[in-house]
Amino acid sequence: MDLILNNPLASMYGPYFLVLYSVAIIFSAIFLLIVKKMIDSTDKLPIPNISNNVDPFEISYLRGKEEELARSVIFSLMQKDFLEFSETKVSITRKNPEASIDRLTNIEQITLNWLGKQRSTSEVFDKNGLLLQLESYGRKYKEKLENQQMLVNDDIRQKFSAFKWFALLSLFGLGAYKVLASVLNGKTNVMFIVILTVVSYFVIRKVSTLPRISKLGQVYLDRLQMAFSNLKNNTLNLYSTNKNNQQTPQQTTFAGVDPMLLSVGVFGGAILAGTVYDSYNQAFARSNAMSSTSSCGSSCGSCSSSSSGSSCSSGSSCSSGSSCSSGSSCSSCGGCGGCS
Amino acid sequence: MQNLKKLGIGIGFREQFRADIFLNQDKIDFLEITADHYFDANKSKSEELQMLKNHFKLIPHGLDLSLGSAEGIDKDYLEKFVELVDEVKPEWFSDHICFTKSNGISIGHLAPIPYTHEALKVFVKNISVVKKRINIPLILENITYMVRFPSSEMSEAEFITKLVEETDCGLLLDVTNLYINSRNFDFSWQKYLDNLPLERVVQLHFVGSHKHGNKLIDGHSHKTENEIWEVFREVCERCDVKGAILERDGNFPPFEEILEEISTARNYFESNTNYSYTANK
Repeated sequence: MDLILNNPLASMYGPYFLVLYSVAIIFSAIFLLIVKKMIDSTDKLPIPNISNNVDPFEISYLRGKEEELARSVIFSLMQKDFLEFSETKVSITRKNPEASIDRLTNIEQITLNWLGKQRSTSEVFDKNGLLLQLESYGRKYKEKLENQQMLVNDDIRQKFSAFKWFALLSLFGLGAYKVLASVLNGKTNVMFIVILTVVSYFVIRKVSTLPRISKLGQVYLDRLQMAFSNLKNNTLNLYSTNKNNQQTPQQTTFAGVDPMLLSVGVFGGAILAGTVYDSYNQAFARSNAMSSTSSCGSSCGSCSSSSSGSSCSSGSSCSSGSSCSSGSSCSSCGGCGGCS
Repeated sequence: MQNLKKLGIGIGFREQFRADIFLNQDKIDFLEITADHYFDANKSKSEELQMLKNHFKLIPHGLDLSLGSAEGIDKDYLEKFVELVDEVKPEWFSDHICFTKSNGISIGHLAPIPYTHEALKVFVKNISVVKKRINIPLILENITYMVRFPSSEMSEAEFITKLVEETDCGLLLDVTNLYINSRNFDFSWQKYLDNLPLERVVQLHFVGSHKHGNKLIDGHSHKTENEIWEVFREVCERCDVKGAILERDGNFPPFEEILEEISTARNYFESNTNYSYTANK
């Protein structure tokens, strides 16, 4: 007991201990950042080749989970002339209900069935809305992408979690010990240590958020964006509202990979700003702003609706979605929010 | 040259085609890259090269080795070419029968040379320098020209024959250039072919020409016309061609048109060789 209360640490002058404790927090944070960088070694794996039958929906999911998947499916249906946004952009309405849906993919049919005659755009991102309908597709894509090591898997998360808890408990233990020793030594001025302990919790929490997309997944996304960058530019020029003909163009390859849908899948809906599909952006921006269920949705929406959407979408940090997917505040949002 | 692997039908890689090329990988056998675009490559070009390499067989095509320059080969340029070849590991590489530099200054154009014995010696010397550094087959491309030198001591076909035989190089026969020259200078391309060592033809280039005044121009900007397909077909019949590249640099059409041209070339190519594209995919 004597040793516990009488040692250099227990008897350390308060301000000195605060400096020592701050250094310990900084070292722990740096240590976790290094571990975080090293624990995902998927960048050493061969980068998967880009298939000529690349699935825009799968890429959307990779960028931003079910939210981005839902956006892409809705865009696809809009492009195929099965739905439209109301003038006020608060609802999506089924168009051409008599048109055959046989040529639609399953995921498109499910979305169309969910839509019925009309839905509010905010319902798309409601947990019990379209996202629920797309959950099974999300699971399928997740499993596939995890098998390809494009997503940070549970194994890596568990390993990293051990380091995180080690750092947290060490810091917490150190703070608690000093508080205890100080109190037992009759010193009650421990408020700063308590505050620093709380700060250490938030610092560690902040630095120990693992990104959703693995290094391999990010490199693959970057490659997709490089491979299809001119597709995006060409398609946007074709559909730009600056053109004399402002009619919605017919989709060019119904059964194959549509260039516009692929562009949306790879780069996100923000690229549609200034095109004949601008209502899509406006609608989602509005729904996100109004939605109380998704705190990050508004940031995605503001990106999409921004008048500078095109410059935003061409930026790698935005279009790749990495900054969003790795950020804790936006981790439930997906790939779009990087530009917010 | 006969032992070289058959590559099939491909396209000269241009950034404008990048997305379409990836979406139509199953219809394109190989790509020809402009070597100069990947010298001192920045991060983006390096990544592009890696990505292309991972998806396609690549053949580097040089623009500026200037094999006809009397001053010799630019050593810095050659070293960059060496690095690229080491990186890409192609079946062969190519450049033109011309000069592009004089007194160290790039003239920015594939300039024709007089078909003299002296010019031949220059080529042989320069090619030996290149071959010492790059240990894979070099194939040489015939160019178009607007002038023919009165000082020439032999015909173009004779010059090319002596050149490829003395240097043991292959031929990259640009059928469009051949057709254009034959029209502009009023000679028979069939007879020209008769005088070439056809067993050395490794690769072909093809694209459409266009008229400028009363001359045909190799602008790499038009659809291959029937007359050039005729040359292509005959060359495929007479030579064991290993690969052919569509060279399109401007006036880019919808990619479907490019695929149509590749498909036409493939029909001629496969009907005259044992090569089956699907079997090799």
